[in-house]
Amino acid sequence: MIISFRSKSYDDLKKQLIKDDKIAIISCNTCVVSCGVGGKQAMETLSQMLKADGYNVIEKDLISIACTLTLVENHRADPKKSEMYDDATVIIPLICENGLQCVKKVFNDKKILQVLSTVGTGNFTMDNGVVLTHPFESTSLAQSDEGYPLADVAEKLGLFPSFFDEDEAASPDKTYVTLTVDGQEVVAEKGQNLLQVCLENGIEVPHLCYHEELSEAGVCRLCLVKIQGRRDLTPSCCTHVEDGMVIITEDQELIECRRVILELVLASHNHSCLTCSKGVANIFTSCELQAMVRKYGVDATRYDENPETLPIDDSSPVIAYDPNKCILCGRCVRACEEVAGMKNIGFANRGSQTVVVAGLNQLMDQSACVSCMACVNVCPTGALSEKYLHFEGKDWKKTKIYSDSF
Amino acid sequence: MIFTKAISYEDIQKNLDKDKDIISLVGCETCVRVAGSGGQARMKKLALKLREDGFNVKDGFLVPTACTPKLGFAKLTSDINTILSLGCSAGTSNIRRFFPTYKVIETTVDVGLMIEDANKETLEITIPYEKYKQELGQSFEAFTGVRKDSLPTKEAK
Repeated sequence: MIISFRSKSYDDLKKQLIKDDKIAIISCNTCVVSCGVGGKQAMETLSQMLKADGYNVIEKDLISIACTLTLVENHRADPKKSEMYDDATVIIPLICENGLQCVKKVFNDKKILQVLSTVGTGNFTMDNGVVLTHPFESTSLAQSDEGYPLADVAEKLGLFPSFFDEDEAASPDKTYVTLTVDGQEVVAEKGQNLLQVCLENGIEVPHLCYHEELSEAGVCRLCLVKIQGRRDLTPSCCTHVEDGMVIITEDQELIECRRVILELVLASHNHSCLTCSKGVANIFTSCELQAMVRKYGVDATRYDENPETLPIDDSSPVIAYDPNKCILCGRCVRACEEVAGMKNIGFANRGSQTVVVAGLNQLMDQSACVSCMACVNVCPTGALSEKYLHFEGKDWKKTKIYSDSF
Repeated sequence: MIFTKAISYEDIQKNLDKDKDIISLVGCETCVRVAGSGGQARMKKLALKLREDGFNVKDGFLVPTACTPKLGFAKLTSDINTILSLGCSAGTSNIRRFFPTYKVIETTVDVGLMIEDANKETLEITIPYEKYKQELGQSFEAFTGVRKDSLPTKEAK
């Protein structure tokens, strides 16, 4: 893991900007997220701060691994983003100094404002969070297996121990609305995603296709809610809040709807937790489908289970793909397009034959996959998972270790 | 990503004891695999060569990232007393912290940070450690770690 800190104050950043600048904020979604200086939330924070101070932030873009040049190139060349990037005059990368080299190659016609400083490599630990174990010589710090906590390193090196503080910017000019969710009055920013508003206010609405890092899809229908004045049930993940909305997120009818949806999902393929990489939850991952099934007490499905067993794709050295565990939520498809910029994963066939495939229905390692793990990180079931391998015996035979051995 | 070079077989075996060491190999599947100094193929080659030379290599584990708690998936059996790390130096530090009572031997050395061009399957050193500062800007073949300028040209092939 590469360790980076914020090296620039908010005032110094603003001094390098003019009001006419068209700013694109881009972030890597790997090490800098663990270091607390990058990722979707950090981009959102900086964007809101700059907008509040009158700057023109035209877009934010998350890149799965910014030290893979191909991914940065793909983001710039994406037809949905290329116009925005052509328009942008300033790029603010929340990317380590290593990934910054890719940004400089791809955006060599833009002004790039570096805000992070990279100081070495380290670990993510359970007890101390991220620690710096192998500092660059320029830091004058010695190597340490135990590692230096980031706060100590920041103090020693005169860097900032955290990301930009929202309080440093003017109050954002936002319009707020008031809505009622399950009888509870909730205040939210106008136009915010209803499902996100519910989750932020501690109101659990089940969902499988929605992921905060991805665009809205509304395909799993589990997050259907009742909105007063609307005839049909409404997917909350595709609804944006308006003033005066009155919403019911759970009643007997919605519970029955969700149970039927879950039973249909379970019938679509073999979802046995006993043979699934996410069968047992651990500190890194858990099966979201299993959680839903338990919450709604779905012990079995009334529908005939699809007897067809699809072949498991074990070709990638790092990703295991079991299409029998796939619920067609499309998160991986969107992650591969939006976060990786690869568009290497997509749906093939139609109707009940629909399946997620890599490339032109190829094995993962024969496709253009760069193993950035954007798809694995968002998969709600055990369909796409990281490989943990054990080798033993005379022929060094390989077996996959599943999470239940953790 | 972190660019590492493989330590020579001779230097690795110098640190091992044929009579006392019961060895498990623990490796990472991220940077070291891309840099060509780790991954399944190198682990197997190293394990079988050590066995052939009389070392007691019992088994091996590969985890997605050795610099995170995912290392905990490497469940060593009670008879193991020595770990060969096929991770970068940060991954090896994590192994030492996870398994404090074991003898841990490195099989790679950090050169610096690198970027990857997946289309061209090349790696480029962007921030080398001081000792390797002459490697700045050098290109290597992804997954083998062979210097691009040492590869035969199309004509030579």
